[in-house]
Amino acid sequence: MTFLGRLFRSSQPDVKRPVPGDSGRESEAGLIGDAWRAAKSAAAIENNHDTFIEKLNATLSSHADVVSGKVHMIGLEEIRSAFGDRWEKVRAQAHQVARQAIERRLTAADIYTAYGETSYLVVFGGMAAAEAQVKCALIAREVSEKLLGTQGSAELLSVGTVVFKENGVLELKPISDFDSLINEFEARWAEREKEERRTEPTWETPEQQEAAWEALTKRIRYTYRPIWSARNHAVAAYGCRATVDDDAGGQLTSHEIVPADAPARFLSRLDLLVLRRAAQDLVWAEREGKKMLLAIPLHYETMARARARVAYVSECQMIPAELRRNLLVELVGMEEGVPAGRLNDLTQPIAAECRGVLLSLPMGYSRFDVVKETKVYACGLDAREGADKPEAEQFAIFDRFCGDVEKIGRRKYLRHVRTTSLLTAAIGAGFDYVDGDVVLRLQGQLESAHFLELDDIYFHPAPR
Amino acid sequence: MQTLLIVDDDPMVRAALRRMTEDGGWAARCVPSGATAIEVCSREHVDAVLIDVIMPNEDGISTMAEIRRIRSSLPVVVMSGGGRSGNADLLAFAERAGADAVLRKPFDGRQLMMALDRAAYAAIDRNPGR
Repeated sequence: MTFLGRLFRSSQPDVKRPVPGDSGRESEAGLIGDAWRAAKSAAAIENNHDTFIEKLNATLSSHADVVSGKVHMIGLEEIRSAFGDRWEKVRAQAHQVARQAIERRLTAADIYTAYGETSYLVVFGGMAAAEAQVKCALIAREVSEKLLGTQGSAELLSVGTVVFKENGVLELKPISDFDSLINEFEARWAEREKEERRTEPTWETPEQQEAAWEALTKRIRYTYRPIWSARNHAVAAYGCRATVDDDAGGQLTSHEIVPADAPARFLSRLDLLVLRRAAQDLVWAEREGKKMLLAIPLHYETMARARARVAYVSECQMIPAELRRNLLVELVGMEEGVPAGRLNDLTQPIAAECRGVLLSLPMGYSRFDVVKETKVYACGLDAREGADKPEAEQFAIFDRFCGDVEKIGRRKYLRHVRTTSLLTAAIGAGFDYVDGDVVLRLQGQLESAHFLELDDIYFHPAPR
Repeated sequence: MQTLLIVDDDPMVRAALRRMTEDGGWAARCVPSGATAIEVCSREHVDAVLIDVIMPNEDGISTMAEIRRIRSSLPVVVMSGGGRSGNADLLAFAERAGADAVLRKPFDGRQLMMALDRAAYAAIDRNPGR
């Protein structure tokens, strides 16, 4: 047994670390409690489940609260019992059916692996536990229908969710009554669709547009994300964004909160809202004696439309000059083929009114000669854009980008960095600034980092 | 030129560390697993080792112990993303287990070079006669 195995076991006596490929006694996964243990059988272990379990346990050891509710088990144990002696003959087919049922419901954010002889571990990374449980129930129903031909037999599959309890122990919470779960979800979904149809904004008249805008602004709140300086190992600025909770329990930020079919001026109005909020924050920071830089997004559409551009710059000029020195504006959504003259026309007016203009670029952008002619202070990428690429390729993209930007003498930043390995890669590639979930997770570890005293930097507005 | 053996299962991290190492004037030899690292240490010349604590099939501490068994004078730096296992800080454990230096991710090239210096001195202290 390795160091981690001993440590994990000693610190959490109720929990065992997986030992894949073992003949049986120790193949219960560490995160799983007795509820599952009773149902499992350990023999041949398939796929690369050792890697999966190892990583899962490593993650659980430090982020159990994050993983809780995301990991689900689907077991064919009872199905095997139902087949009795015939199981060996149908085993391969049963697993094929199970795999297909699972794989059909996976998104890019999800992973699964075989666990033991008759079970699967599935991690639905991008959805709430309730929704994931419905998916598991649907999988169970499909597998049982295909194998046994009767819908009522879905209960023959054991399904459970790994949940995190307050005392730090992880346990498996069995899911039962699949039909009710599915029916409830379908009913809720139908109700929501009906409601959405009823409240769907229509953009036909100015009055309707105004009402839709009012409804939207009532849902907006502002969130603040630290931007970390890789050179100084300190938080260099805060990114302020308009945020709206979506119905699925997630968050929409910036342009995502404006419906795609909304009039273009909605984005410009949103930019103005965020600018006004930033102005208030800068006043607050000044009053509280806090030194901070605030970065806000400015959509290309706003600067591209003369009227909206003038309105934005005018609004910016209303902020006292000494406070504007603490304002960074990030131009987002720029199209690839914008010529140098045009980009200069768009960035110069705002560059004159704030500390610096940041330029968010699409991955693969190549016209750095264009950027060189502008007053842009830094160029950045969104790490989410390349998340589906192989890791080595992502690093190559970062490396190339940093090299190109360095050649034109600008700073580099990477947004939405989620993992420590991605952060390490960003630093290795040469990014000067980084933001994303990982920065928040590392707060306690960052030396000489100074943070704003916000109650909850993600979910609450700044106190004032 | 000195050679640093980098042991990390994540190809993106390996690429980043290679860049930092080469920028620091070292040559880098990257491997994805502890088993390969042990093999390299027993057959090739390396001047120091940088190991990630958490890897899929073995942990960095066990790998370090095995490398020590083969080449006791080799400076070893253990790195981690600040992970904890239960109540234990992995890097604190690594130090107690005999790492010559530890590095908490994220770190930059300057910090890596400083850690390699620390590890080199610690290795000399461990093996005063060599």
